[in-house]
Amino acid sequence: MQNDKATNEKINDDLLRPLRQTGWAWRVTVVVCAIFLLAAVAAFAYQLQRGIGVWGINRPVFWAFDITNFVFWIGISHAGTLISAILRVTGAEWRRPITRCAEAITVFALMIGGIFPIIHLGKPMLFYWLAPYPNERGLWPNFRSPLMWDFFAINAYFTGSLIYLYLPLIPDLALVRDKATGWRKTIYAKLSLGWRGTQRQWHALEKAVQVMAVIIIPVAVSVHTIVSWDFAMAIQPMWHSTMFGPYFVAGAIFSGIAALILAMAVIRKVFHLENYLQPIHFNNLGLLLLTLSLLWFYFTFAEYLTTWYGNEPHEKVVFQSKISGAFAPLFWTMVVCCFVIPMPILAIKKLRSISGTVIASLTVLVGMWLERFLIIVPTLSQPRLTFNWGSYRPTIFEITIAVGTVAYFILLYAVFTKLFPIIAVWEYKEGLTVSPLPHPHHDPAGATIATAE
Amino acid sequence: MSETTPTNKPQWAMVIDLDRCTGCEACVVACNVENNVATVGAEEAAKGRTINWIRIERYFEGEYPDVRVKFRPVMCQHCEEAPCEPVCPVYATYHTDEGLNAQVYNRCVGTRYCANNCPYTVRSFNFFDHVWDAPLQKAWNPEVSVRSRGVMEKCTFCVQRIKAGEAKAKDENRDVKDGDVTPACVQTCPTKAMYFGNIADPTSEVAKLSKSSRATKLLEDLGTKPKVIYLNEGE
Amino acid sequence: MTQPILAIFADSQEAVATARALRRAGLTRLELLSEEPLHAAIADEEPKSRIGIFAVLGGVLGAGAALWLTIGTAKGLAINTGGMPVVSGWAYGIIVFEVTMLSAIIAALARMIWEAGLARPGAMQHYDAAVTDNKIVLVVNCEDEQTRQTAEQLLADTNAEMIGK
Repeated sequence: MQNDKATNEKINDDLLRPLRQTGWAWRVTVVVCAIFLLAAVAAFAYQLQRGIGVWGINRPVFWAFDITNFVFWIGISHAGTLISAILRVTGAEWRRPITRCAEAITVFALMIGGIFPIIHLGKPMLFYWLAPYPNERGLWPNFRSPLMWDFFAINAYFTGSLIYLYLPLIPDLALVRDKATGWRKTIYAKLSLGWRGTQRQWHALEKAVQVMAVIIIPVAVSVHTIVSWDFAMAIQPMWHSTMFGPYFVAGAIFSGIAALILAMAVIRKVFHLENYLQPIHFNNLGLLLLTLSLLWFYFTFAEYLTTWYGNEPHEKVVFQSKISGAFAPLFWTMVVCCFVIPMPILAIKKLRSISGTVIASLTVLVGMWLERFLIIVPTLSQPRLTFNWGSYRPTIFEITIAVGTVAYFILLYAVFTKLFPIIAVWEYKEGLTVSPLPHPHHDPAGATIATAE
Repeated sequence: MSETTPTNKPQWAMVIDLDRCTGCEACVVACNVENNVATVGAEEAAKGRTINWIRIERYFEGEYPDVRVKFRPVMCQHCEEAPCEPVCPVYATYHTDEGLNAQVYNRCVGTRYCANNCPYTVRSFNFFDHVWDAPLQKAWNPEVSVRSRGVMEKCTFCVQRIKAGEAKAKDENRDVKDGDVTPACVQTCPTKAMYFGNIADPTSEVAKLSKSSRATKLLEDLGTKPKVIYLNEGE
Repeated sequence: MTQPILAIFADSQEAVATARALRRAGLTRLELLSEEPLHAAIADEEPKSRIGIFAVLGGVLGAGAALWLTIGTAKGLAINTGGMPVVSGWAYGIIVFEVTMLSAIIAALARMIWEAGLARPGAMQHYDAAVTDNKIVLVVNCEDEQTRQTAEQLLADTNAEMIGK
């Protein structure tokens, strides 16, 4: 069963429009983000020239904003490939319009997350010394170091996610190739690798995506587990926790879905894709976000309860500083942002609208950034030998770099939407073929394609 | 977990008698001079960026007026199962067969993970390149490398003196004995509160003192097996 | 071997039915080009995919390489850190896992590109951009003039627009 000609043309037109037309919103976004990115590059250049002392880190707080941002962005990356893989494996039909925007988030968030371990080094130009290759130093890396696990996990996840983004993109690249002219046609022809859409190709593609999805799920889980092990392998108070792995994975998916909801809301507005990204998608993702908000609360409660009850002095000190001490304002803001605000919004059906989920997602992102900060800094600033207690205050350079990377993410994403269809065209069309009226019974508010025609 | 290779090499250790420590910090000054430890300046020090290979920790016990001050010199504890070592991805810190926790500045890329995983907070980081106001650079010890920006550093037990002492013993065709190696802090201590030697040699002073009923190790319950032994204050 | 015939169908069901008819007539070297997978046609063609097996093979290769990389280099250096064993199975297992998965992914990608006949010269032969206008293109490769006539006759009875006759 095929869609009729008019529907087909409309879909092509709607989904390829961002590639043809450039609106003022897009231009403004790109220019503003580029300015912030340049500021961050300048901050980093100054840091390279002067030394990492331009940051606020000190003894004993050797890690702070840098690793907070690293964990935050690697967490965001769990929006895409993982969610998309789970939805593909389980055959959730509503996934179709959201898989690509999710997968793109993963790739870009990993690109940005990967910046931080490099720029936070005392000698950033020597980052490649972590790579295993025969070298003039006569040394191989120490595979017992959790940083090496990070190196391998993030490389595997990034490569896998890039391939997982690219494979389902090939038919769409062929579509753009056929619709484009001039030098664009040449480029898209190269990128689509000579895709013709034979059934053999379709079969290979479907099979490959299926295999990738199965492989990428454990990789994604391992990545944030290993990030958590950067802390859990250390014997510092409130870091050395067996449940950090699952705690971090849940937190990563939590912040990842929040980022996905935000990205979808922006794409929907800017590119007028109201018929494609419908309230049902925000509702379903909102329910996932609700589940993870509850899971986050459960993990956090379990983590803090055991510390409180165990009453181990060094742990208790860090605990108290978060609950009622210097870090209490940040801690309770985190609880409000991750649970108190989003949970009711997402639990009450009336509030689980597009704007409701967007508000919840914004607070979740703030809360989850704070969570990572509160895992790192309170522990480090209160080491066991109390003589060495310290404090931390970020400098303008760390803040500029943090803001700049957010801008960089938006910039990369905006450029991506200009070059590639942000909604998988063929997958969407296939969805219409599978069930000609998309989710009419789930969708009391939004207009379906059929009624929009 | 532990895998110790049998060795007949000396195992260097230190004993510090807390009863004798007056907290004068002469050891700190001696260490700075011996090991080319940079002075970061008041502004950086206020930010917590000082570099110290040894420090005197000062703790107050009790409430005023019944207050007692305790001093504890703390340097790298040269743990046999050092938490700082395995976390380094580039082997910049590792364990030598003489029981030293070595730091190789040329390998260090500055992840600072070692310092984060040190329960004793004895590692210092070079946040900037340091300036020695002339003519202080003329006092540099030529036996010790001056560390560049972006690398971690910490107490080496004066490894340059250990090497010199071992060479001397070898020249004289004998094993190292007490007095062959004296780190700067031990040499300087006016109250003779510090002892250094080969703990694998049962006749050495440190081996004998380490069996004292006053002997303890710092945060011993962490299982790091420190090589610095403190003799607690008697009452 | 003569030039293939390209028949352009507006209706996918008709295209699939025609392909079946041609196959019954002995013309098996057919290709259906479409904008989305036609699962009925895929079932007819019964393509065999070895992507899964290649992923497993790639994974095994990767695991072997990672075991060599971790155990081999660590034994060569034999540096003591924190009193941990030189061969620390717990830690190296993580590296082995990641390299296994990465190799499986890359092997699956390579096999997929090979199976789909992508990224090779001449990959775009016998194509018509009508595919992207929601048409189905049936590419009929004929052995000789006789089979070509059979194919043309069969196609003439359909609503297909023919190219390359």
